[in-house]
Amino acid sequence: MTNHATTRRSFPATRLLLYGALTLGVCATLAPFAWMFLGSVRPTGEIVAHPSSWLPAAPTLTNFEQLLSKQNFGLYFLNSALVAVACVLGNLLFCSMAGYAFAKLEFAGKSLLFGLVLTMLIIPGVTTFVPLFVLVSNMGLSNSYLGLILPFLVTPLGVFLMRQFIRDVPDSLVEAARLDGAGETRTFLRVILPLCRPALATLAILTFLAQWNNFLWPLVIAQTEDHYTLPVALALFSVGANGTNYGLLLAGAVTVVTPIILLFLALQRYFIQGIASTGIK
Amino acid sequence: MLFRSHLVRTVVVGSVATLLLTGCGRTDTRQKPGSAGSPIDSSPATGTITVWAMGTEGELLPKLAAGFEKANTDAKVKVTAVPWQDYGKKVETAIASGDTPDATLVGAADIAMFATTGGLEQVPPKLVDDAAFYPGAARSSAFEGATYGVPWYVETRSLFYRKDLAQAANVSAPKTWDEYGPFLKALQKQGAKWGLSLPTGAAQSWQGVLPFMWQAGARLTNDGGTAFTFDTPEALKGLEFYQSFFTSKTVSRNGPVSLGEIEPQFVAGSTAALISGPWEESLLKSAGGASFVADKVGIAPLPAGPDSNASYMGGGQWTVFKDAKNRETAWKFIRWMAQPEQQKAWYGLSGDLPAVQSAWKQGKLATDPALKVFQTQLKTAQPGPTTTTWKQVTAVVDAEIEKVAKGVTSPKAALEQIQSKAAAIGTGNKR
Repeated sequence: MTNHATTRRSFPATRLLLYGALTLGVCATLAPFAWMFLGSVRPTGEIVAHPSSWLPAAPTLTNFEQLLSKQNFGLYFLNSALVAVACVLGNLLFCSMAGYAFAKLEFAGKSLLFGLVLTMLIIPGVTTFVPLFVLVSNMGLSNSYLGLILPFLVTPLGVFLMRQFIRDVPDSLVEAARLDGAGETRTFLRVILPLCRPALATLAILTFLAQWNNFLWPLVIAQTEDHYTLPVALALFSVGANGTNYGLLLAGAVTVVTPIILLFLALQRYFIQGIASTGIK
Repeated sequence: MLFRSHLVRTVVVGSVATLLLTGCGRTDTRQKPGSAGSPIDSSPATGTITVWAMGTEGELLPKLAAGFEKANTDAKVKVTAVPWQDYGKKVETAIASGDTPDATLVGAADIAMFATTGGLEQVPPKLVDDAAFYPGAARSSAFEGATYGVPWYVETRSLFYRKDLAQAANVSAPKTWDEYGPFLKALQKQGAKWGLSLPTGAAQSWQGVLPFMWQAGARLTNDGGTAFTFDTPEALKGLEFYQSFFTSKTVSRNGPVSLGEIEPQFVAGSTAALISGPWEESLLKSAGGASFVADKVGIAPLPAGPDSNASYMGGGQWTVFKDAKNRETAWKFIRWMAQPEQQKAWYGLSGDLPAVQSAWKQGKLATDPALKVFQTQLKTAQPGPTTTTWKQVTAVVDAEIEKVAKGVTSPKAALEQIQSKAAAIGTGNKR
């Protein structure tokens, strides 16, 4: 009864305002996605038509047909998936290991090493882009899956995120595990990792997103089309020197975005926990 | 709190360590431009070459290359299709690492930028006859007195206008600057909100504005190409003419800022004319249908100013990397593609306009009225100055001309700004 009364009292003014603002925010966020999905089923001429309308006059799947008829499209999709999944697994494993060491172990040069990790976070990627390419190319890894994956297998952001999360795991848990005779490996695998699920889910999504959308690195490292990822292939097909095939581009965008939306929905609960507890995006 | 001070300390320690480890000194990155290689003989080509071609060109090139493989049975051409988007980054990183293909297609405007890295080989002596190409195309392949690219296809911009509105107003396409304004005003009287569309506020706007300066007789660098000369009466005349379209309310101050924005307005009749290249016809077809293009679109060379009707020229050129594994066959392939028959065949495959003038003598290239307009335009069309710093200068130009279009600065003040900034950037050319 009391509960009901409270809700009632606060509903009219503030609640209405709050819901109004939230609805507006949701609409603003979803509008571009709606435009993308609706645009993907209409011809380019209609997309750029002026004045424009939200609903397609005659929905068509020609954009998707055109996209799928491009040679190797399935391969590009698989390449993207392979690279993204490999980077996710690498980050989950190595970043949490490094994070554990930085958070719970004492060793010489720890703050120096961690300082280096933070420095890498600060240095913009563009400044290291060419040296990184030269390095990977000198290792003979250009035009290979390893070349696509290796530079992103461990990321400073991931190490930092895991370290912050593991720091908050009570030391007493680690000590208890040690008292019970568990070694570092067992402590890490059986005590720390299960507690890190929210952080791991966050890291998984962030890594997947970054790799799935990555354009510039795959563009320069892949020397033949069979190593292209989706964003590179999409740019090849739809963005010309003097014009853009918007229909094809939007159909491609839908293809690229859908797996991410599904992944996010699947991990949503953990993701939000992860953000709340580590305090970083 | 403890964490914060600790964090600051670790970052500082880390940064110092990184700088020490990487060595924070800077060396002179400028290398010697590629030297001229030995001449290419006329024996059949052998071995495999890998070439990069961008966008549609990359998708279609294997069809053309098949002919080369047929004529040179021991040679094989592997084509990698590369997106136009950020292709410069790909070429630059390839050059930096030495991990390059044999040859690549590049945008004509980017040759100087790549040549200055030292990663491109000079075109071997007597490989092709420079006089065979449109003069503007041959000019964009030269940098610091040497030639690094062989023109493949060209593009230039002419005036597209609503033929139906012009007929209704009983006016014909303008031939001079004096006829320009009245012609556009007449189209506006037929119901178009804007007479013409001019670029402003978007990247690459300079390609639409510098031609006005050229038409007035301006030359934007000195003879040796070592200094920019934007502060001339001719350049001012050109920029004032550009401004006049906005003050007379013939052109929208907000210009089209993204690709694909203007076509629907042109189809709807709210903008009566635009300046664009050979690709525009297919864009208009997709926006308005084939009958719209046939019945309502007219095309004419740009109206001439006091000096000429010069338009901007772009296009694609072939370059060979210094680190090429099979330079002989790469150059032979490029020489083959610059032959009139192949130029015609490529037009048939891709619609790209031939850079070789004699390829225009037969077939659709000789008879089509729209192509005739572009052919005329190509004769006087020119590229931007071939300097390594041109990209930086165009950013300044784009920003200043937007201010002129929006009416917040005068053409004179804009040119002074452009000149002083361009002078500070320098041409980067040593000769």
